[in-house]
Amino acid sequence: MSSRSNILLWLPALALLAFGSDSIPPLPKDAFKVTLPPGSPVELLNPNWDLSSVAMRGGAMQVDLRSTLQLRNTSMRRIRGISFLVLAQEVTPGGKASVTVPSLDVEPGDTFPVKIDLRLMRPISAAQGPLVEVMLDGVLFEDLTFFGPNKLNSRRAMTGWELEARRDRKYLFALLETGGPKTLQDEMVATLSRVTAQPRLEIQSARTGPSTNSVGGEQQIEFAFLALPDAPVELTGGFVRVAGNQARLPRIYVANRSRRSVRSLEIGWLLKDNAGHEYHAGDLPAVLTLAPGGRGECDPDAVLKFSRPGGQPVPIAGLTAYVANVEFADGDQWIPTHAALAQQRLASALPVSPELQRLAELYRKRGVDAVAQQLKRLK
Amino acid sequence: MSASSHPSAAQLALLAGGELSRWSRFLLRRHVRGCESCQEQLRSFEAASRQLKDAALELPERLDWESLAAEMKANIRLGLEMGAIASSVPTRRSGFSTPLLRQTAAVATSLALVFFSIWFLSRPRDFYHKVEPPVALATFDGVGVAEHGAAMTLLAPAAESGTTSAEVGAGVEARYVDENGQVTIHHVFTQ
Repeated sequence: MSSRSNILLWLPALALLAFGSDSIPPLPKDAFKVTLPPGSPVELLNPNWDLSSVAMRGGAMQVDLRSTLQLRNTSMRRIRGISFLVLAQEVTPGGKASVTVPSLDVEPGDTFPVKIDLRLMRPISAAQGPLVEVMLDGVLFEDLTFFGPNKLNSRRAMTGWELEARRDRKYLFALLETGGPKTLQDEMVATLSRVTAQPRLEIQSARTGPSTNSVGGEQQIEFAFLALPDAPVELTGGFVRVAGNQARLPRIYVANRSRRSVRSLEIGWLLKDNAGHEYHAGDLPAVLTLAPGGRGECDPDAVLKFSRPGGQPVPIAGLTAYVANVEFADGDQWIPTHAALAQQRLASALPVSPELQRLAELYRKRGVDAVAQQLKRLK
Repeated sequence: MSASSHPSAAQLALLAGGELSRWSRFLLRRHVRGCESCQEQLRSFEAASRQLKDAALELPERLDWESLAAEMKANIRLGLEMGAIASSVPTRRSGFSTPLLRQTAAVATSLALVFFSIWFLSRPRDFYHKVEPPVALATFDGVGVAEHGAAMTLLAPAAESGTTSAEVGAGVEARYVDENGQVTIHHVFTQ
């Protein structure tokens, strides 16, 4: 290549270097704000937003917030879970988000990371002020006590995950005790297989608009129910309107069969497609007061659409519901036992619990001895 | 710039998006004026850019959720690309560290934006009813919520495994286990 060609090649590059910064303004100084409530059991160590950036995309502003919040446990108790509320009020007035890390075991004085990667798109004309506010919503301790404003009801969710974690660790520990490391290893391999074989869904969710009253091809289908032994709440009936890969306006009737008052429950959904494959589609959380023997119904205003990665629709051939979690009026929770899950077809369709996922990953990286040590330590 | 050294598709995409510096814009415009094939390519980029901008900024009050979901998917995809670039830069200040890197990122994201919009606008619409915003979307690349032309997306960590699920009536959720074994649960709420 001649030197003239080289110069011609480099000219545009030099021009880019000289004039290239005009489309990317700096991030506002107060773009991100992290708030910990007074008396917080964690402190924030040097928040680092260095990899964050802002760029203009046509008439919109695109903000990439990239941070790892380094936190220190300043309490006297072990932390089992933490949840943050993420608000970008000017971006999505009706929407908010949360980042939760369950299955922790953070000793007093120890530090731990919570990674937050967030992207915002908003009109340039939007008002000034913090683009993103990250607020502590709650911390769950080893003794299941909780600290935080709990605006997202993270107490119930984190307590449920912690109870699942204890159930699963207890089951694995029993395997270790009775069958030794080989049995534990087999279980970890089976768990990894389940994680790998888990069918993947892309899910869209919204509220129904008023124009959706009459939809061609839509039919009302009845839910099938899985009765789990000892479930304090029974699902007595229910239906949902289905068309293709969309389901909307579900309604499920429930009855409290226990002697305790219930204040909320979660109903799991299994979706069956045309080929007979079953997927865990999600959960229907419902806050409703049920006195002992009382009845109620859950009918959220919701429309859901299910696809495979890439957008191929997953046609809904049937939906099965089961009681996934019950919270009593005193804050206690009921979750299905390991034996109940294993006896039902839930075992293959349900995603493994966060704790089992964590232990399976530990097994994959460090082997069965590392898992056995953790089980003994957390016993 | 001679006809034998056409600008790259990336440069034309940047030109269409108005993201080139003044000097680069001048050089490219000069070439494009005398080059029919580049004119045609530029026109297609400009059309795609206009349509995407319209979709993002002029959403009606009651909208087709397919377009919102597509917008968020584009958001997630672009976020991942930007993230991959950003995380490879050992920088101590906000944003990208050099103008050249910024341009590289701009090229990558603009290209992705243009190709995505062409793909999105040409695919058949399979939706038959409208929904009330905000709309939430869960994929293995992230979860997001969009409303009236604005969107917030939580991008997935570099995960070893993940699952998605709906919180019926409340939003969507994605669960990841990262390379250090830490479980992170992202949730976006629609109410």
